Amino acid sequence: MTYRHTSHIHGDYLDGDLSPEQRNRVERHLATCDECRQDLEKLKKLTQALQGIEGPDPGKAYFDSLADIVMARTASMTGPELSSKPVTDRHSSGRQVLTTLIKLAAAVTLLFTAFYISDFSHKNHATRWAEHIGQSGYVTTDAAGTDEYMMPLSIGINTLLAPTSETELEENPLPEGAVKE
Amino acid sequence: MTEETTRLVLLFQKGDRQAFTKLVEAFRRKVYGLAFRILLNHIDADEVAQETFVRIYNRIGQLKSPEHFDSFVYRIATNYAIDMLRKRRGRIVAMSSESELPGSVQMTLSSRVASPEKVLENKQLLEAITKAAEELPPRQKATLILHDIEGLSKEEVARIMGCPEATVRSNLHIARSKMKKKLEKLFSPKKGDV
Repeated sequence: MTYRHTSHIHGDYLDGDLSPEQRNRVERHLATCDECRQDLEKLKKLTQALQGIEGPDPGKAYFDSLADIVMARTASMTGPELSSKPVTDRHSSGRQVLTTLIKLAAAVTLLFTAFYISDFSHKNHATRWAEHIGQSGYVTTDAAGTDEYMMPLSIGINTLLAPTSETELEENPLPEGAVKE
Repeated sequence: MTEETTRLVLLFQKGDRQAFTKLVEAFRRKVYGLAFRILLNHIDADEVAQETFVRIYNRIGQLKSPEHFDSFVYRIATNYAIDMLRKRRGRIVAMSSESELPGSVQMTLSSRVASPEKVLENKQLLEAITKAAEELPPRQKATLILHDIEGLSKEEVARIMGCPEATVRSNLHIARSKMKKKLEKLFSPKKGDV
């Protein structure tokens, strides 16, 4: 048998909750271990003291009045079967909370969906417009509003950013591959 | 539980108020005593006792096994007392002396375990036990009281606390170990004892 302290089962030993084998093991160990013997002794004293605590006695008059109060409090109640605070109340109030939560979740989901669709549609429109412009340029109208022509977007940007003088060209050379006029 | 109690419970479940009165009379001391041991306060124990019986009146229809009526009573009382203890913790500092308990209601150590000449020693021991028990978490305290003071089996305590028996064993072991540690000086063998 390995040497192992038995203090973790001293409570069950005192309560008589151990199997005969376990009891034997504890008793064999107690015969050789002073530390466990002392632990068991302290536990015995504790449980004896706890068992010796007598209930408080507020007197017969108090207990009589307690019964009267309880009977008076329950007199207005319709009966044991018709509880003033039945468990079903708790369940139904729980169900109400759940229903409210589901409604709230549905409302939030709808709100998000609506927002997403509107945002997507807006983005789509903007993207389509940008793609359209990017591919074909932007539209200009003449003063009379009759002559329409397309200017490629790249040309427009390059025109705006492109250096115009020789000095500027030296300071800001055109990127490789760009055509210098 | 006696057959008479089971009979009264069955009558009560059918709506017999007289049976309920008899059950209140039979269990009022037990309920009050348990509540007092957990809460160490007459006012709170009185509230627990009253509320326990009102709840029993309302919930008796839920009791499927009339032979377990005592567990049903203890369960309602313990849960209410634990809730009260939790609410009270942090507001009230543990009472340091038995004499500080409100009213004249006090616990005593049975003369079965103490000779008359050891009255003073017992008084000190009871105060130390009360103080040490006050520091236990509510469920450990309730487990210790139900098992070691009320003398209920682990199976009954498990039914009352609504937990597995293994949890009762574990809570009891922890509670006893903490109490043992706190009462170390009082329980250590004195010179001449060994």
